Amino acid sequence: MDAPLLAIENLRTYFYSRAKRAFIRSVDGVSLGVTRGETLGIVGESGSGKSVTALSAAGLVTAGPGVISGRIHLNSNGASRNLLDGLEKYARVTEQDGRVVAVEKDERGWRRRSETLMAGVRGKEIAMIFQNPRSALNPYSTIGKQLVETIRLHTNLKRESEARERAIHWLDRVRIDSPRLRFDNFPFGMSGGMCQRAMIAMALSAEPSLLIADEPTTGLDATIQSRIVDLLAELKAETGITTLLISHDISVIQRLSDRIAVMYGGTVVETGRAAEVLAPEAKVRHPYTAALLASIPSAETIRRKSYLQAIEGEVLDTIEVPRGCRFYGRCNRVTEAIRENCAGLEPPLGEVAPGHKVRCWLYPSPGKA
Amino acid sequence: MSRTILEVTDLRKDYRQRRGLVSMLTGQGRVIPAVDGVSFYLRENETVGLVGESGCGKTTIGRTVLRLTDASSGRIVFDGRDITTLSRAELRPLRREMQMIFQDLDAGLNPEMRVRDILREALTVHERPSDAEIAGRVRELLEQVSLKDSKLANFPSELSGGEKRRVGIARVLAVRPRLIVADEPTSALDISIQAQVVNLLRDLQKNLGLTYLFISHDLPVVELVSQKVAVMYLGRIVEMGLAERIAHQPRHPYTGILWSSLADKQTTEVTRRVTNVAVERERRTWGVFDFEQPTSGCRFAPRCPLYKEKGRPAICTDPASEPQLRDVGHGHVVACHFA
Ligand SMILES: Nc1ncnc2c1ncn2[C@@H]1O[C@H](COP(=O)(O)OP(=O)(O)O)[C@@H](O)[C@H]1O
Ligand SMILES: Nc1ncnc2c1ncn2[C@@H]1O[C@H](COP(=O)(O)OP(=O)(O)O)[C@@H](O)[C@H]1O
Ligand code: SF4
Ligand code: SF4
Ligand SMILES: [Mg+2]
Ligand SMILES: [Mg+2]
Repeated sequence: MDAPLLAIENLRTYFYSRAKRAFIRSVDGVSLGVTRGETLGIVGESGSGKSVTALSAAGLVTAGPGVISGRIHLNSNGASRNLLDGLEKYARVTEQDGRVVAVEKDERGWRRRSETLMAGVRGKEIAMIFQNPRSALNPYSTIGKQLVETIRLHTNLKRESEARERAIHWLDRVRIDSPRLRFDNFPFGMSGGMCQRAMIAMALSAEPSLLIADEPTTGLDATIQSRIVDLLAELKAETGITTLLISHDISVIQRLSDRIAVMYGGTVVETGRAAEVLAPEAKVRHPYTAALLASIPSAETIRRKSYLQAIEGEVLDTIEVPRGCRFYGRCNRVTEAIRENCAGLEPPLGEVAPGHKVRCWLYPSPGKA
Repeated sequence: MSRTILEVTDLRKDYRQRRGLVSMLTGQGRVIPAVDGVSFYLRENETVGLVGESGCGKTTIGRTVLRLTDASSGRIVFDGRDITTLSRAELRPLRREMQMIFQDLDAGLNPEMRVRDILREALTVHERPSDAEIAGRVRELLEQVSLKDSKLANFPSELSGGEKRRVGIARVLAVRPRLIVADEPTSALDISIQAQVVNLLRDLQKNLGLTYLFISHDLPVVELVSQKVAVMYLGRIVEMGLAERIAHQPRHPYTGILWSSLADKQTTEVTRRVTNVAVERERRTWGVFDFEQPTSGCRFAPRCPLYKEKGRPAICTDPASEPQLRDVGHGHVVACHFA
């Protein structure tokens, strides 16, 4: 099989919170692969580490100590590189009883090294779109100008007139009406949905190998949300762009992803083909994935005016990581047979079927039980 | 039948909009009728849902009926009393009866104050309870919104989104209101936490007999919590009726599109039914329009699939015949010439 376009191995990214005087293990040993042409959807509640995973891959982590360990292989344009190459020389972590007590990191040294590794990657090989498109666009420059700049910087269309035609082409492709007129619009006159379309045009116009879309629909009107999802689906079908899609909304993930990874407390708790993981009749499903699915009100729930199925409690803060399963405090599937394990031992991400992995004591992987 | 607690008649609210550099600098701007002749009523202990896209005037209605901002014209009757033009002083005793849950999770949560002090402050706005009474009420409020008392010492920045929402709700409950305008109370929250908050609001209504004006663009949730739903488009109510009818037998083309755009999320047979070919075509470009100045005649005409399907009938754009709300039976009203 083809090497994945992006392979994240055992990534750890930590931050220091001054307010809480503690280290936050935002990403705590994540491994993920994105195969060429596919959309990998990362889903999980706010604070589970999705964005930090993506920012780490794009070399956009600015707060300290930041990326601590792991490898991020990018295999594009015939070259394979580890975007975290040499990182181990810059960082050292001291742990005590499940709590990170000290991180020594030469942050300036690492930032310089990272900039070298990321040169020509960010914005070009990896393009990113974010939740709040308006703030990601330059308010003082027209949409058209910003597009032209990106195109001239990242593609071989260097002539202004060529770049301009290509920019209009992209505005049209993201279904912005009257692209020639919109070309001269400033972001502030545009609706949220339109800004997100412009942002997507901007990202794709660099002709990247990987598109990272972090909560591309969050914060938009429900009606606009489904239009943006439609657009992403159409663009995926037309361009075959490899995508790392992030959302807390499992229905968005469900509609666009070939494979999915469910994150909780800085770790991946389930991963596999979307059709398999989200199949209504699936027998094997991580309790957290099940709870996320159940929290979408069904037509039946609404008709009968029943209670919505909430996931009780709050997301785990990854400062004090428990010894057992990270989902233990909120899990409603714990049985007496496994309680001791759930409470005391972190379950491994075990393979329950080819390509389908679950981190839960309910599903001991064959041979390991 | 329970009695009417709020009655709004022909409410209007104009804003002077400053758009573009010139109008920003000169302070001039065009007038936008954010709320343009809206009438509805709320019965005690019931929920009316208010839906529509961003910018259609939902928040403005909420703020105006609570007199947080003055109406340009129209009449607001709260509990049998015309409050449209009451002075600040006259309004004071009524303030505690009508409260707003703001969309912004941080609204009303002073970042410098601990949760305990935020609640204490809310409890002492209108009354002078003793310390023991305050402690008792704080405990009661925590219980009502299911918040652990370990959170009392936290500052807002030390709360999660869901916890902030609970504190915000507790703050509102502190004055024992009867009418609550809930302005997109869940839109800033994760889906999993939204469910918690929706359940909480429904429980509170049942236990405390509250009346809600529930503003949201999350249509399934609106259908779930509301007895009646009003659909707004550019400052006007274009359709209103029982929640089930609005959700499943909409008559206005706009409502049909609004609900069908959720068909992907919520595969209900009903939303499928309203999705005809013309609607499908409209959906492709849906959301690429900005809100324009209302046109003459029906303000939905520029986006209306039915208008195109019918071969652009003149009546739809006739300045003299903007469609008015018309009773189509079962307490269901629609503003469309062809509904
Ligand atoms: N720059 C930062 N400094 C401190 N903590 C951070 C920073 N960025 C993220 N975090 C924390 O890391 C955790 C994971 O965050 P994030 O990846 O943004 O979650 P998600 O995208 O899944 O909502 C959260 O607890 C968040 O508060
Ligand atoms: N304080 C204000 N000044 C000027 N225009 C406003 C103000 N508040 C709202 N508007 C305008 O009024 C219209 C309705 O806004 P709003 O009531 O917030 O809509 P919604 O809550 O449905 O999104 C919008 O066009 C908005 O830009
Ligand atoms: S390991 Fe135990 S606590 Fe964790 S998800 Fe599985 S059943 Fe729940
Ligand atoms: S009146 Fe005409 S334009 Fe307006 S909603 Fe009805 S059919 Fe459409
Ligand atoms: Mg995020
Ligand atoms: Mg609003």
